[in-house]
Amino acid sequence: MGWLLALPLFLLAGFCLPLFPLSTAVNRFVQRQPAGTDERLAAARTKALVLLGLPLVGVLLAQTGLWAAGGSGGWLVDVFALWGGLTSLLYAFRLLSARDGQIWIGQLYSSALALVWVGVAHDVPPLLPALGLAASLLPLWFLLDDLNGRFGIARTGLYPGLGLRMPRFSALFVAAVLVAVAIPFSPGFFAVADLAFGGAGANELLTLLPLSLAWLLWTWAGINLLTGIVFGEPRGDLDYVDLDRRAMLVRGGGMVVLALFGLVLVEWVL
Amino acid sequence: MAPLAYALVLMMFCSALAVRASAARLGDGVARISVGASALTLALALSLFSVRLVHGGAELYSAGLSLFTLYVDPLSTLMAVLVSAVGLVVHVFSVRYMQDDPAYTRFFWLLDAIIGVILMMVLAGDLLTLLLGWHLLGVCLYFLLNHDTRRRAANRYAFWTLFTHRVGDLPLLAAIALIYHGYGTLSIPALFDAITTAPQQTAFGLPLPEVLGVLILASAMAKSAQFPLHTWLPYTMDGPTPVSALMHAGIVNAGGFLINRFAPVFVETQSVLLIAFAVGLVTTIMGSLMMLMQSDIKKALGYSTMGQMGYMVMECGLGAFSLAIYHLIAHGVFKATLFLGSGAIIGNARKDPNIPEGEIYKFMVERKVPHPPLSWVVFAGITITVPLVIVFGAHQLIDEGFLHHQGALILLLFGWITGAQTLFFVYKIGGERPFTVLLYVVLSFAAVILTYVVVGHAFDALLYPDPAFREALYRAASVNFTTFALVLVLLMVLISAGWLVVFRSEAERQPLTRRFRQLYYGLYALLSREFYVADLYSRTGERLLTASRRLNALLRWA
Repeated sequence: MGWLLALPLFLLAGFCLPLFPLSTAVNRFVQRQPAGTDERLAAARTKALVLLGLPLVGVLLAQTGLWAAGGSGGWLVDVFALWGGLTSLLYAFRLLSARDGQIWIGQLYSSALALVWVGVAHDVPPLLPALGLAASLLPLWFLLDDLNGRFGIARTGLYPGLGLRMPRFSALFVAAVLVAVAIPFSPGFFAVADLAFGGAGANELLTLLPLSLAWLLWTWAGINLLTGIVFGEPRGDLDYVDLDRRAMLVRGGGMVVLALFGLVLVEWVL
Repeated sequence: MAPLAYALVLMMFCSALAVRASAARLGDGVARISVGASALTLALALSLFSVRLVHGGAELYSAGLSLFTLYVDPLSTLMAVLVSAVGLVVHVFSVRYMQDDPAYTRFFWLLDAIIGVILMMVLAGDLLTLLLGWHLLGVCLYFLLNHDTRRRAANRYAFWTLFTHRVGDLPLLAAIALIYHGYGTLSIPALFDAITTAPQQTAFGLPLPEVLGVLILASAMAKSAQFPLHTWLPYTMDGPTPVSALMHAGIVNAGGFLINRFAPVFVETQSVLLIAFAVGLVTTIMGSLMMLMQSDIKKALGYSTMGQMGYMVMECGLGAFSLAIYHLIAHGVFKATLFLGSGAIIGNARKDPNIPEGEIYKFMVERKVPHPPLSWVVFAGITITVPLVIVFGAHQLIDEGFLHHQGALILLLFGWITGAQTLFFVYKIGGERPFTVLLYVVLSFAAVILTYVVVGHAFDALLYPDPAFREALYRAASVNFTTFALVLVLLMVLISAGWLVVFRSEAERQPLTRRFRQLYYGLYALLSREFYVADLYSRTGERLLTASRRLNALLRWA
């Protein structure tokens, strides 16, 4: 009967480690525009904190659910792992056509964090992968907010060719997109590797198929994002102000810290 | 030796950082840092390789972390020498070639980074470092190919390249995950020990080595442009020429390296090498056919690389692993030369075609074909028998036992066909001195085959010194003897008959292309569209994007 206790906990966790359609709540929250200038809940920093905190709450709920289920909830965990895998693939596929920055990052968040369920089901400690995947999105989150501040909207195709007009910003943006789509040495890469290494033994297909396909689609979507913002012919009717050296170093330093976090993560896991 | 090995890997990364940091101060002078680091890297690689030659064996070095261990053995050091040598040539060539480019500095630090990544990959002592290098290679290549950020075509084909490379990364990730689960290690030498001693394990209901072999092969297929994952290679000519040279001489060889790196896994497989053979054979034929269709010299070189990579994978599929390494080195050297020289050749040809007046001029330009004063039957006899005698004689001379391997016989078959094709061309172009030309061709062919055999055996002794292991590789690539003998005899009869038919039709001035005109045109159309593979991928991509948009609209983007 333990599964009866576990079910509501897993469902609650499904809001934080997004499971479709529960995931729509997180996506709406990410896409929400501030009603006024002083609305704190819609501010980029608040949203970033929520995005980093939600997976932790989700992991706590999922772990509590696992404890409550005891030995009787094996089938339930498998169902949630399958649900997580499908959610991840669904959002990765939808990510291909997302052009708005906030929609893009919300969908990537849903696709990435849903994969944690694969780990939960296969005895992979889920905290570090969840933290790694969520932290990987932060640099891009802030840079998209920066674009929003500069151009009024963060959207691909509206102001292409930033690489030529704002080289410092673009260099950071490229790095942030790569980190977000779990390229080495981002924490996301090691989180994906951790989930794959830990889960493959329990169920090869259920682990490797969603992980691999979602990862492939993220890369495709990441390139779409870069193509519409960094590459291409720049517009002549816009004012471009690049980052100064100090701002570039601070933000670049943040990404180096993230890479180091990725290395710590892998040392911890192996 | 550990500091030397780590210095070899880190040198180009440090150079990339130095170039980036001093770009504003030094301007175009940053190239000096890059070239200097490249030369030092080659010196380090040669030192490591020399040490391995003298002492033999292999060593694993660690920096005190789970990651970034280095495995220094003859294979990794040999590959490091190749990569750093090609890297140095490309660096030196780029100094002047890229001089007027506005993104000169970016080009050099990316070039340094990609060479650093390749060195990290070939020297990796653990599977996670190997995966890091394998993965980052595609990313660095994407940015190098996208050098001209304004060009849509460059962007499009750079994306194709990255996507295909990513397709190839996934099987490697899966293989490593299964290895970690099955053998409990990520260390490459520990895996080699475990795979022979560990009890039989399964994955997806199949023996684990079999599954690992297929996954590793799939990964190699993407990096080495094997059919149907080949489309990225010939289409990436929008990148700078030095990048093309690096790609065709170094990066595409990654597949051959990977298969060789996991040779102890392939020894334990039953049918994976046969799949490798089939994939390589199809790629060789497709690449060679499509090469013949190209009018653009760089694209023709691109398809030629595809054909050569197919041959390299086919060699692995036949159990001749070390021969594949020799092949990829030889190919790397000549293809880098061709690519780096292609621009100058095109430039010169625009001013003066400069075709020497001789048999080839008459055949290609004047279209005059005087046939040699010799019966076609006699010439066909020479064409079929002489190359056969040379390829078998050379192998018999160097290593009698070699001919007992099924894979070796298949390779000889290809040598025979190549030689016969060259002699047929002598007959076809005719000329006034057919016997002199024939003699030159036969002597050149004999020299090539003898060199190939001698160096091939030297590579065998260097990379796989244990004869029992070499035997095991050939055994893993073998099939039932009766079936093999029957197929071999049938192939030889068919090929000989084919040559006779072609000779006869040429002698009667009734070429087969005229007799089977419709079939010829149909095939021509199919080849000119490159079997519609690229079209199929483009169409599929567009449909997926449309479906994604519709789904998003349906679900209100949340």
